[in-house]
Amino acid sequence: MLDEKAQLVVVGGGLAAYAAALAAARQGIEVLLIPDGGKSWALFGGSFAARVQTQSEPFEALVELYASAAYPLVAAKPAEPFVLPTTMGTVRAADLTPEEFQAGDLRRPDPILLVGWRELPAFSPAWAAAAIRQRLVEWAGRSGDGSAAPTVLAGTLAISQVLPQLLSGHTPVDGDYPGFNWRALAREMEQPESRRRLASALNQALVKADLPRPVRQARDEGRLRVALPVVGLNLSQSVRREVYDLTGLVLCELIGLLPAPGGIRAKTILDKALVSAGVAVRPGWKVTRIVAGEKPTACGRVQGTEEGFAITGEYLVLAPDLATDPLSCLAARLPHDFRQAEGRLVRAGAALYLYTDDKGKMRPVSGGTHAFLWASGYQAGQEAAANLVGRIDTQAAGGSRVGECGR
Amino acid sequence: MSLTSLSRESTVCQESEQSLESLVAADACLRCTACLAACPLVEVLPHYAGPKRLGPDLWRQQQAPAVEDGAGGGHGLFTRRLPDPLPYDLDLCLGCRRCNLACPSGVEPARLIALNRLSGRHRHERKTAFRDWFLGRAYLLGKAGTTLRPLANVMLPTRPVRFALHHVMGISGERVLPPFANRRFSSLHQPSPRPQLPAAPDTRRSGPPAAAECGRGMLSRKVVYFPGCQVEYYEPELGELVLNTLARLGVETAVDEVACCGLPLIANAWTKAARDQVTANVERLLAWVENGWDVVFSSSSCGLTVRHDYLSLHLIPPNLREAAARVAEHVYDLGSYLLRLEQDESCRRGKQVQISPNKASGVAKHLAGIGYHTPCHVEAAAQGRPWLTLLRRLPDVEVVDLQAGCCGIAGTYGLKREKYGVARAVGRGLQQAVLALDQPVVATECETCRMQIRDLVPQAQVMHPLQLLDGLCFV
Repeated sequence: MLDEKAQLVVVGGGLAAYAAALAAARQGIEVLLIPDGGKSWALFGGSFAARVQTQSEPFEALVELYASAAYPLVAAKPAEPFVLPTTMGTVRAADLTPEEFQAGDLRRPDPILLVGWRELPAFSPAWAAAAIRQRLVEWAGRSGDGSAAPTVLAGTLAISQVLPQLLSGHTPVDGDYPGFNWRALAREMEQPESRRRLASALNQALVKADLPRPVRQARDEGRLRVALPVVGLNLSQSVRREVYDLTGLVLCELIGLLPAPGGIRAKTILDKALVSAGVAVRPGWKVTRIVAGEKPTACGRVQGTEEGFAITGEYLVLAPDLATDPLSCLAARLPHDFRQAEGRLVRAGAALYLYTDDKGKMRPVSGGTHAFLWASGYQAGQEAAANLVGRIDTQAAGGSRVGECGR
Repeated sequence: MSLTSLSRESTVCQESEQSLESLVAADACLRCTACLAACPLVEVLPHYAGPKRLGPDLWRQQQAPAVEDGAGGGHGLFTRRLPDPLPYDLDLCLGCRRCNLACPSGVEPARLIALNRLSGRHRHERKTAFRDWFLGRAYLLGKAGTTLRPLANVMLPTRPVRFALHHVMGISGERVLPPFANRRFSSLHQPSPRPQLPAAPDTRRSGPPAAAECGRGMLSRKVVYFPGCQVEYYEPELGELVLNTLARLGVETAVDEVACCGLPLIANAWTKAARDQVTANVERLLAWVENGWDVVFSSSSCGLTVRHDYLSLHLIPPNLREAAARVAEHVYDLGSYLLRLEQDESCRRGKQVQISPNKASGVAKHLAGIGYHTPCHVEAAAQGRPWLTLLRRLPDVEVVDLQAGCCGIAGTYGLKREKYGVARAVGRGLQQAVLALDQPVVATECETCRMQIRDLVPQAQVMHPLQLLDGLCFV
C-alpha cells in the first residue's frame, strides 16, 4: 500500500522536474518527486542549446549546479553556438556544454583526431571523420570561408593493448567483444595507472603515424585535439588534465554514445543534489490519473495503478518529458479539471510545448526538438517552483500535516 | 489423440502463448538504452551485455529465424546471431529490476531476462551445478545449520570451513554468513491448521480492498504470516515480533507452514523445481485467502515473488493462474499492511489515527539518527516505502533515506565465489552512504540486503525496521 504525503508533488523524470524539485526543496519545502513520464537521460547528450531561452541569464542556475559538483560548464557567446562533433559523424550546436565536449568545437582551427576503440563497435572513427569532413566542406561552401575549418583525422586504439585488464578472462567471438560496454571502459580510464597507459599509447601511436605537417606542428605546440567516444565517467576532468600533462594532447569527448555519458553525468549530479536537498524520489510509480481541485480545500492527488494508492500533496508540478514517450506522455493524459486547481498545479518543461487542440486534447507542438526541450527544461522547472514557493507554508513541513490532505 | 500427446500439445500451446506475450513485450523496446543507463552491473562489468541485449534483443532474435524462413528471406535486422557469452551474461543479471523502472516503454527487461534464463535454451554448461542446486534450495543450508548448531555457528567462520566452502562448494569464503538461530521459528510457533477450501469462492473478496475509501473494502483483520527461510532458520525473533505487533493492533494471526517462496530456485534457474514449489505455495495460500485471510510477509523479496513473479514468469500451470492472481491480490508486505490497517482504523473510528511506536527500541534508544536502505524489490514493487514512513514516526530520531541504489547481493548471487567481487563493486555506493552516517546504524526490510551491508561495513548495526520500533499501536 502506498500512501505518502508531501507539500509539493513533482511528476516528471526530466530536467524540468528535477529542477523544480530541487529548487523547492532548497526553499525548505517537503518534496516528493515521481520520475514518471520521462526516462530520457540515456538519450541526453549533455549539452544545452539556448535558442528558445527568453531570459537574459538563462543558464546561471545550471552553471552553478554543475560547478558545485566540480564539473564546469562552458558558455558560448550569444548567437555563436559551439559546433560539436558526434560519433555518428554529424554535428550538434550547443550554447552551454561541459568542457570535454567544448574542447571538440569544430569552429576552432586546431586539428582534431577522432580515436575509436577496436573492441567498441558502436563508433567507427574513419566513417565519422569522413562524414564530418564532408559537413565542414558544405559549411565552408555556404559561409564562403573555408580557412578556419580544422583538419579531421581518424585512428583506432586497441583496448587489448592499452587496457588489457578490461578484457582479461573474456574470449572474443569472431574477433569481436560484443558484450563490451563503455561504462566499464570509462571507469577504468579514471584509474591513475590506466590514464598513464592511455597517454602512453596515444603518444606512441602519434609518433608512428604519418601525420600531415600542420597536424604535426599542432601536436608540437600542444594544440592537437584527440576526440574519444568517452573520457571517463565521473572524473573526466581529471583524465583530461592528466593526459594533457603527460602528452600535451587536448582530450575531448564526442557526443553520441548510448546510453549517453553526458546524460548519465547530468543525472548523477542532479541525483546527488536531490538527495542532499532531502527530496524523496520514487521511481517506478506510474501516474495514471490526476485529480486536482475537486473542491477548493482538497489537496492535489495523484492516483496510481496498484491497489489504488494515493499520493497526496498540496501542490503539484507536472513536468512530463516528451523526448522518449511523446504519445502516451502524462501531459497528453491530463484531464481538463487540472485547470481548476486554483494555482496549485503548475506545468513545466516539455509541457510548455503543448497546446490544446479544438477537441480540448493536449498535443505536442510540431517542430520541437530534443535540444529545445533540454535547453528550457531546467529553467522551466525553476520557474514552476518559484511560482509555488510563496504559497507554501514551509513551517508546516514534517509529518504534522497527516490527515489534512483529502482523505 | 492420446492423453500424452494432448498433454504435450497443451504445454506447447502454453509455451507459445508465453513466447508471443513476451515477444510483444520485447517489441515495445525502442532500443533507447535507458535500461543500460540504469543497470548497476553495466558500470562494474566491462563485458556485461546489459538488459537490452539479454532481454528484448534476445527474444527478438529467437523469433527472427522463423520469420525469415517463413518469409523466404527477411530483412535481417535482428537476425544476427547473438554470441556465445550471452548465456553466461544471463546468469550475471542481478535481478534488481532497475531496468524495469527505467524503461519508458514498459518492456520490463528484467522479466524477459528471467524468462530467458528459466527457458533453459541459453543455459551454458554449469560448472557449479551442485553449488547452484544447493543455493537454489537455500533452506537446506538452514535446516542443516539449525540442526547442527551451535557447532555450525562455531565452525562456519573458521578458516578451514571457509576454505572448503570457497574451493569445494564455490561459495565465497570472504562472505560473512549470518549465524543460525538457536531455535527454528516453527518450533516456537507451530503452523496453524490450514482451513479447507470453501465450496464456493467468497465473492465478497473478489479483489483487494480499495484504499482510502471509508465504509467499504476494509481489511479482514485476519492475517496468515509467511515466515520464509530467513525467519525460520536465522531470525525467529523477528517472526515473534511480527506476530506480537499484529496481535497488539487487534489482528488475528495464524502462521503458515514454513516453505520457501521459490525465489532462490527462480534466480538459479531450476525451472521445474521452481514450478513445483510455486504450485504448492499457491495451493496452500489459496486456502487461506478464500477463507478471508490476508497473507503478510516480513521479507520484501518473498512478498514480491509471490505477488508478481509467480504469474509474470509463467510459473503457474494454466489451471492455477486465477488462483495465483487471487492470492497475489491479498499478499502484503508487513509495512504496507500496517499502513493499510491505519487507514482502515481511521475509517472505523471516524477520526484520524496513526500507527506509531511509543518509543524507540534496541539501539535506536541511544541514537540521534539512523539510515534506511530501500531494497531494489521494494522499489520495483512501486508501492512506496512504508517502513520509511513508519520509521520517521520514531520520536527524536532522524531517519536518513540513503537513496544509494542497489546493494549488489541479489539474494544467493552475492554468495557465489565468482560473483562476490561483483556484488561488492555494485554495493560501493551504498557502502559510502552508510559510512557517511554519523553512526552506522541501518534499517532495511530485506534480509540479504542486511547481510550485504554487514559485509560492506562490518562495524554497521543492521536490522529489520520493525526491530527499531517498539510497541507499535494506534495513536
